[in-house]
Amino acid sequence: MAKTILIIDDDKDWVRMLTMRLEHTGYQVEVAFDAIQAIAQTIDLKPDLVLLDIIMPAGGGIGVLENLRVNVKTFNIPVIALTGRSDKQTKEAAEKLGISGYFVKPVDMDELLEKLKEVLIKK
Amino acid sequence: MTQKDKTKEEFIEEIRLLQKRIAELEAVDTERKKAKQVVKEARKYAESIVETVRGPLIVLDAGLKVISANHSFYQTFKVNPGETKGRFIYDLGNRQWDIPKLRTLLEDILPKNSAFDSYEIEHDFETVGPKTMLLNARRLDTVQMVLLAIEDITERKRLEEELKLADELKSDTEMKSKFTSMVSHELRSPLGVIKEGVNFVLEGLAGNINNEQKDLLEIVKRNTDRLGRLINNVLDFQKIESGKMGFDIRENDINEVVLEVNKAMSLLAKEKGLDLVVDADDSIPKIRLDKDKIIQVLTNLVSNAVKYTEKGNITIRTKQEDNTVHVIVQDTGAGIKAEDMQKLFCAFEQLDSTRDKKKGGTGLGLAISKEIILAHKGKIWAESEAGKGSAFHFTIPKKLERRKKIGEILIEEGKITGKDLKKALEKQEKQK
Repeated sequence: MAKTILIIDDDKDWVRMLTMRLEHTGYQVEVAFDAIQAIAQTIDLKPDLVLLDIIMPAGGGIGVLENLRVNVKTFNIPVIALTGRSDKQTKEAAEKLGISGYFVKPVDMDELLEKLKEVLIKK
Repeated sequence: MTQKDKTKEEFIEEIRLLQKRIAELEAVDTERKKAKQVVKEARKYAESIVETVRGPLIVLDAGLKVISANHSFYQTFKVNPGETKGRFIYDLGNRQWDIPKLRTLLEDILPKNSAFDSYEIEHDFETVGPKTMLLNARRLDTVQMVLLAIEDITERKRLEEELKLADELKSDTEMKSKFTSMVSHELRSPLGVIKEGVNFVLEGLAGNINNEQKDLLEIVKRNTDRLGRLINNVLDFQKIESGKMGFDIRENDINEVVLEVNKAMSLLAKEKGLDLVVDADDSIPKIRLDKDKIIQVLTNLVSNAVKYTEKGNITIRTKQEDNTVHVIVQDTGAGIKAEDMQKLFCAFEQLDSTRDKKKGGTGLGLAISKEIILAHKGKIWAESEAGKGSAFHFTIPKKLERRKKIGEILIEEGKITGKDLKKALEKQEKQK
């Protein structure tokens, strides 16, 4: 059965590109454009993996990550961070909360797809 | 009536009155003497206060002539008592005290208010230089005097200025780094979208494309990659300038680095008809360096070599020296003019701008490479002659100096002996 990936990112153009690429690769893709949608969707859909943009204006991605980690329904869903932020503090904050990968935009698509395969096989 | 007619009684009365008069006068005289003494003591008291006060104090008469000044005044303004007492305040120190603002205080303000505090005067004195002072002035009508107490706030003002500058610098720096992370995010996101969109279409996933469409999209892709590199360069440079570039130093094999760069750049070289050759010394041991950053440096040197060489080859050579590992990127290109050698590693300098309009770039590559090599405590330089190709060299020390312990530094500087250190350590151990 196809694995489900939830993309959490407020950049609609980027989300469209990423969705096309992931669906073409054979994944089922769902999207959430803000923090509130993000948490609700994660609980509802129970995706196999979450691709999260750490920087989102209203309620930054780190907040979403925190929420996912403390919620008993979502705490063990693997999260890969995709972000324009390359600074050390953001990376460390995310790693502290537990992420399976950290990619800085613009993303090397081949590397990302490799990583997805890697993480989802472990499940 | 004659004298003889005055009775004895009248005489005695007159004498008695006279005696009384004399006694009264004597009493007044004593009083006066006492009063004089009191005044003397009061004056002494006032003078000792004036002398004890730590700030400069000066006392003027109603005509603005100096009655006295305290030791602090003489010291602070480098005038001597001989030249001060009895002189007009404005004449002091050879008319150095003829200050318009002081005139305003003494001649306009003080007559109207018997007291005025914290009056600020800035003045460049010939003898003691620029000073900023706060004055407290009092007009004492009963004794016809004017008191001036001066506080020298020159130093304080200077520190306030410095603090203000430091604050501004700090917020400047903070703003710069906020700018950097914002720019990095804002510029990179759309770039990622463009890249993906173009790739998708190029792969035929949005329908078949003809050759012309393919060509055009390849051009778009190339330039998107170029844009990405430019953004990275500018941000790298910003990071280096602000000291925020982090290094991940580990044991690495320099020849591995060379092979990786060779692999990445060989296609580019081939496209231009150039040979990319590697001449590596196998005996080189692993050394401590940041692999990604050195790859960045070598990539920069090789891509420059490819850019500026029209035919022939580019050689990457590694060799071991006594204390360093030495890497050379040699090309058979046009070489660099003597006058341009100086500008090579400077930021934003590009040589031969007419030629470079096609070559592109920000002129930051070598500047960044230089900073990376310097951070490794290495050296980077170029050797070239116009028409004879160029060789870019860099060295990295084999052993990064390990951080000395405080004890070692103190012994080196002769501040303590080895014996002292040993004793101190033993004591510390016992106390644990």
